[in-house]
Amino acid sequence: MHQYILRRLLLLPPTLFFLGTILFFMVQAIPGDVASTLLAGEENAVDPKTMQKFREELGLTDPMIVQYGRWLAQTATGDLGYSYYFSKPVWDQIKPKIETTLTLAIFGIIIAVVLSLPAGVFSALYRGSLFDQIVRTISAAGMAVPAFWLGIIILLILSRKIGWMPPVIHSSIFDNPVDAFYRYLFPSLILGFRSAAVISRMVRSMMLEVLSEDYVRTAWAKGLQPRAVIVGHALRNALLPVVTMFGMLVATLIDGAVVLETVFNLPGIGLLMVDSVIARDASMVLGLVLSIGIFMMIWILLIDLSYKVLDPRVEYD
Amino acid sequence: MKIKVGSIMTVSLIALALMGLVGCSSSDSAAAPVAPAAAAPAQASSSSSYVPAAPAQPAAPAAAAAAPSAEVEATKKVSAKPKQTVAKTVTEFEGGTRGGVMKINTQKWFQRWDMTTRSHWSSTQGLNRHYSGVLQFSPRDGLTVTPDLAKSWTLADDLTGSTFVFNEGVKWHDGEDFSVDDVIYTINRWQNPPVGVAQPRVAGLLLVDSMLKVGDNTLQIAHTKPTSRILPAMADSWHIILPQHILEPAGGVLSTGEQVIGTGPFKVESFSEGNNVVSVANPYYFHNAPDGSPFPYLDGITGIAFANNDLSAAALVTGQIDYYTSLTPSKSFPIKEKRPSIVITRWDSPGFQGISMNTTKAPFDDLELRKAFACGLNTHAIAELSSTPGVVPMEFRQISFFGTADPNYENVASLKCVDPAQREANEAEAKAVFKAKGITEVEFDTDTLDDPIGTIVQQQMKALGVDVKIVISEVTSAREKAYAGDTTLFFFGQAVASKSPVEIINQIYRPGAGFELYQATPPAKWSELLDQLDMATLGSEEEKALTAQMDTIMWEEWMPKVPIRRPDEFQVKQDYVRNIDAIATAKFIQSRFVDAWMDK
Repeated sequence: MHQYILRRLLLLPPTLFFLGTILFFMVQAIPGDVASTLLAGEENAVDPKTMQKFREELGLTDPMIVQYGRWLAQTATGDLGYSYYFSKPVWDQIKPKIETTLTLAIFGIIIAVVLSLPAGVFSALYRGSLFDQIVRTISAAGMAVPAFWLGIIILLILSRKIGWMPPVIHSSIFDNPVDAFYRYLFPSLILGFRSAAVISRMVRSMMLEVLSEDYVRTAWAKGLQPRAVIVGHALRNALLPVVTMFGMLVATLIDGAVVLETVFNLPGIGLLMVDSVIARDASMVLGLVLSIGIFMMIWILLIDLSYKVLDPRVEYD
Repeated sequence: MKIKVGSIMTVSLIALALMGLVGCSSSDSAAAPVAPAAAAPAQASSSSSYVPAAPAQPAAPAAAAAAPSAEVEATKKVSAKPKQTVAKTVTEFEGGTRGGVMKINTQKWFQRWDMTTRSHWSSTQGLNRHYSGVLQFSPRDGLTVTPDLAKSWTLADDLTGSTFVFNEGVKWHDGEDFSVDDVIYTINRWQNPPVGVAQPRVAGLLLVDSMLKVGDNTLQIAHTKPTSRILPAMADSWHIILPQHILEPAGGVLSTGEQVIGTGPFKVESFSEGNNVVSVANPYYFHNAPDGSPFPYLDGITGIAFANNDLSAAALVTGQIDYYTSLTPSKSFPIKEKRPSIVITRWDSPGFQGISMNTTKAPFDDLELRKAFACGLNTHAIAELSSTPGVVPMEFRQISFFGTADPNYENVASLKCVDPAQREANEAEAKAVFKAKGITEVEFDTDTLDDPIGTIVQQQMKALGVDVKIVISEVTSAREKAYAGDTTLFFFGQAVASKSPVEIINQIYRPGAGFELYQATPPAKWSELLDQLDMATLGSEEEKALTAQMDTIMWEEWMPKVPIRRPDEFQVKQDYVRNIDAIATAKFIQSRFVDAWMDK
């Protein structure tokens, strides 16, 4: 197992290298650059000579391969670069945003798990019942409704019909837990609900499959308590593919955070990504994607390692 | 699939080696910021001058509770120690309530803590209250140059220099003493910014040739040419004075909220990056109200940024913000129904909107077609229709090209292309030209979804026999396309000149200040007039006559020739929802909320 972890960790640098390289050239292909945004992209305009001089200062007129080499060399040392748009090192801009996105994602995951597991399990246990049909309908709706639309509708209903909305002043969950709870409540619910829609269907189908297995029938025949059969035998075995799916859903959660942070004004990674792309801040976009890439690879590794906990028969080769 | 550890290690090592090799062969991308060069001093002879009125005596408490004057007065008493009299409790008076904390919507997050590096007005609204300038425009009329850090000034007879005398005892928010060296440092920084620091609003500060500190509190400036425009340049709300003792050690780069140290009426107490800035009244603030009571009236301002208008509108409905600028009528009136205490103020702004024609390619490389488009469109109707039905129509006044000085409407109103009485004839003529030239379809690029202007243009052009295909792109891509000359028609959006027209001149016409965007070289006569305008007294008849002449040249000689034309600029009005003083609201956008107060 140690060897497996080592191997996976050693795969990180080449994967990031290829990810970064592809991204670098993709970002360069987008029209516009940070110099254009800084000098002319907002409410101003500038003469072409000034723009050219500024681009030269920032090294944006160098051949692309030179820019790529510079970026690669810098990234290899663990330095994500400097954002001229935000006037600070890329990591200094990313760091304070992590807490917001992580809080949103964790709340979303908790809500997704709390909603999806019981819904999926009971839906399978009472297959064809009214409960099952309701769960299936809601989960289909959850997958179909866009997060931004749901977010705006919730805001409009809260503010216009009820005359209340979550606090607009952002506060950390550690500094002001009550305000933070309300701020994160609705985006987390939307995020969790959408993920739960997918997971509950997966749990349901896996449970249906496992419940028809011989060992579950044997467990019933042995006279075990229903809880022991369902949780200890059926659910535990049904969870393996669900966990894989769950791991992948974290990527969806980050994706959803981009939208929901914009709708609910949460200053996190998602909002930063949107601003950086609009500003054509290549350093920041690359820094963000690489950071997310590293996080996702470590996350997927953790998910893979969790298989052993769920099923002791799993061997890592 | 099995993966050999050995092969993985080999791949990793090769990748790392490659990264290392490239790293050794390339230079650093982020060059260290460079401190600006010190400017050479110069002498300035003097004559034309401003001397402040004697400061008002502090009033008795009862009198101090009267409504603040409509004008910011000249230099006030300066105290070296923190004032003890700054309102800390809410005090009601005839006109409203002093004290308390006002929560304002500062639009989108301003992205950079250094407001001098942005041209977007969310930066001034988010940060301006923390700073002072050498001078300032009156927050009441937006035109009158009034003292700020400088208590008096003098212009040389030949306008080749100016002298500014600064208030004594002014302190930065961190308690350090302000000095004339800070002004010299800041102007040098504007002119020679560190690497990677853009100064898109440098504009009129380029008129400063050199500076000389005389004594402790006097600064002499030599101008690059004879001009009186140095005064509005110094009063420009973007031209704040920054602390040398904070920026110099940081290589001139202002990158964190902690570095936001000013001499302005409010100081940063805390912030949540990307969301809010909590400011409290600056106990060291050096201006007092005309009645002698201390500025600012408010105990604090919390500026909150919103990622989208729906959210900020919801915040207004639920009372989480007190003040909101630029809310469209379609959003503001339903909000008022839900929250009747809200006061909506419409403000007559010399702002303009523009559609550019790309005259470097067909069809608008044809002068006749350009004229047909410019005169065939009913810009009056566009101005009215872009307002929401149900709202009192905006009073329309066509303003001149580039909006040099909005009072010049009268000078262009009688032009055939503008005159409402000629509308039918203009449309018939335009229709005939489009038909004769075989123009049946054009593209209209915009960065705005459901752009009302685009829709109106589409409807009007349809009546002229031309189909307009609206192409919507994301904002940066749309602009890049326009800059590359790939658009046919492009909606440049709206520029709200919430400050004085004089400021607009300084921002737009100065070298490097932006008007080159339109690739428009002014006729020589126009440039001569601009030079004369520089030497004219602010607000004088001479100034008005010169701007009128410039407008005529623009309309009759310049406009038909420029490669990218903005033919349909028209005045718009901004709509405000706020619950503070109605008179001052319009100017608070760019001002420092120094004399803002809350309604009862």
